Amino acid sequence: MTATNATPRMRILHGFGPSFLLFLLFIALWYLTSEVFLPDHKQFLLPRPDVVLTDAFFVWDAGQQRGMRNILSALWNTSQIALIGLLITSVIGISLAFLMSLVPWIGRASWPYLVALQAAPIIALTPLIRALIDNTTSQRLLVVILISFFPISSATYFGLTTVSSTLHDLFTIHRATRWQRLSKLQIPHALPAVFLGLRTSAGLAVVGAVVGDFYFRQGGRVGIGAQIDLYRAQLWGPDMIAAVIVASSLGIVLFIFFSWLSRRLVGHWHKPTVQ
Amino acid sequence: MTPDTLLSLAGVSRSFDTRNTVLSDISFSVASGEFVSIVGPSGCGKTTLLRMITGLDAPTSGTITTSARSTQLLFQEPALLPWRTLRGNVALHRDLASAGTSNKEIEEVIGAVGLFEHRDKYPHQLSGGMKMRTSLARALLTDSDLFLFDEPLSAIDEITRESLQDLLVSLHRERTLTSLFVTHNIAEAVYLSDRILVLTPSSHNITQISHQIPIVFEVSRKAESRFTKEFADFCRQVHTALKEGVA
Repeated sequence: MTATNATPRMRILHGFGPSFLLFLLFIALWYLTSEVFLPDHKQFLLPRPDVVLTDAFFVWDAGQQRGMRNILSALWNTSQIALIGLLITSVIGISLAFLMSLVPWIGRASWPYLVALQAAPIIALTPLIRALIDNTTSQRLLVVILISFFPISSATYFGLTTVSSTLHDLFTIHRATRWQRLSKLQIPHALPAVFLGLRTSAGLAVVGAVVGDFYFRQGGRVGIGAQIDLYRAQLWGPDMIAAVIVASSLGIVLFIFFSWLSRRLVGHWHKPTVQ
Repeated sequence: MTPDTLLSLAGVSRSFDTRNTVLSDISFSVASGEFVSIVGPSGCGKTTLLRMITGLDAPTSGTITTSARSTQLLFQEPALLPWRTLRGNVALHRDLASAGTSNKEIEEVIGAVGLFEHRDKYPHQLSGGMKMRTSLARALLTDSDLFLFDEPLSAIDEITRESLQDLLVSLHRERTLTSLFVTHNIAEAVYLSDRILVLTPSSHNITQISHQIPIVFEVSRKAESRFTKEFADFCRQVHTALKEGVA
């Protein structure tokens, strides 16, 4: 039976079945690592999944900044930094990509630095960021921007500059103006790539925000990165694992949101090879 | 250039570098309402010739003169915008030129190529033949009076190709189109054309026009004309001209 003539139940199984199987495998591996591979004196580093559920996810507020109330509060703080950073990254990254595609010499000049930015170990720059910027929020935002900048700018640039020469010729024959070529050809053509870049940048923005929490926390409210660091220092394994899972879920939620937005806006004509 | 000449090429040559001349001393003209085909082996410069006529490329020497209002080129591929529906693709020129084309005119031209019930579909929902018809409708909606075809039917199956050839013949008749049609399919050229130019590479792969063959059927051409002795004779004549040129 193929996916096209399958019943709705079969389609759901076809769509989510493999992921669910992998999830079960992951949980089994987790149990195995926690109970078998790790020696007894190190098991606190990776408590069993059921212990994480009962000792962290099912506890609302255990004081000393433990429990889901504190984890979610820290997540909210990190989310704000990630989202604002992602917004700034998107505006600057997409604008730069437009500029690079419109003015070829700017494209040629900027591209090596974009690649270098992607390759740079941002964590190593934290002392410099601290020395240059006083405000903690600005420091954290800068880390988010530096980490998430490459995917959105490069994907947009790629989308704008890879229109087929035949379509460009078509617009030339129809005597399109530069603005028409951009608005009716290059921008629509770039949209799927822009959404792909946004999905990747969104995940990296969360990573950047968590990294920022780790290194820049003085004076500001506590983000989830700082919370994870606290749990690690106190050897509160279940809370640490729960906080890591919650932080990851923020990236997943953003990924799902941009995938949904992409399907809504370009899904009716853009059919990616791999769904 | 005589009054009824719409396109004239005089001594047109194109080289891509000093050692690589592709087209040499190409001269011919196309009268208003005439359907002229150019046949020749792959890579002999047929596409380059069309690109020069549309202004997408410039000749190294020689002159191209046209009195056409504007020129449309149909590419080897349909060149549709995947984010626009069939109707949106056909209306592209109106959107770009802010032309006063009415919705009724758009629907009429979509009907003329037989795609009215598919007008709200996106390109990925259309077959190869439908895409090419869409591309043709888009060209017809412009105010162009000279149509250049760059092997537009080469990637289409035989049956669809024949129905598109019939469509071109009827459109040519009804709208008195002036067309320059590039193909490497001899039968297609014979069926569609009033005249066939044979492009053949001579020494050092320099392409020139070796023969001009007028195609005049005793009776008006229709689908059955493909199976007549007269049709076969014309095909043989073009085939011989191509062989002679290559030899």
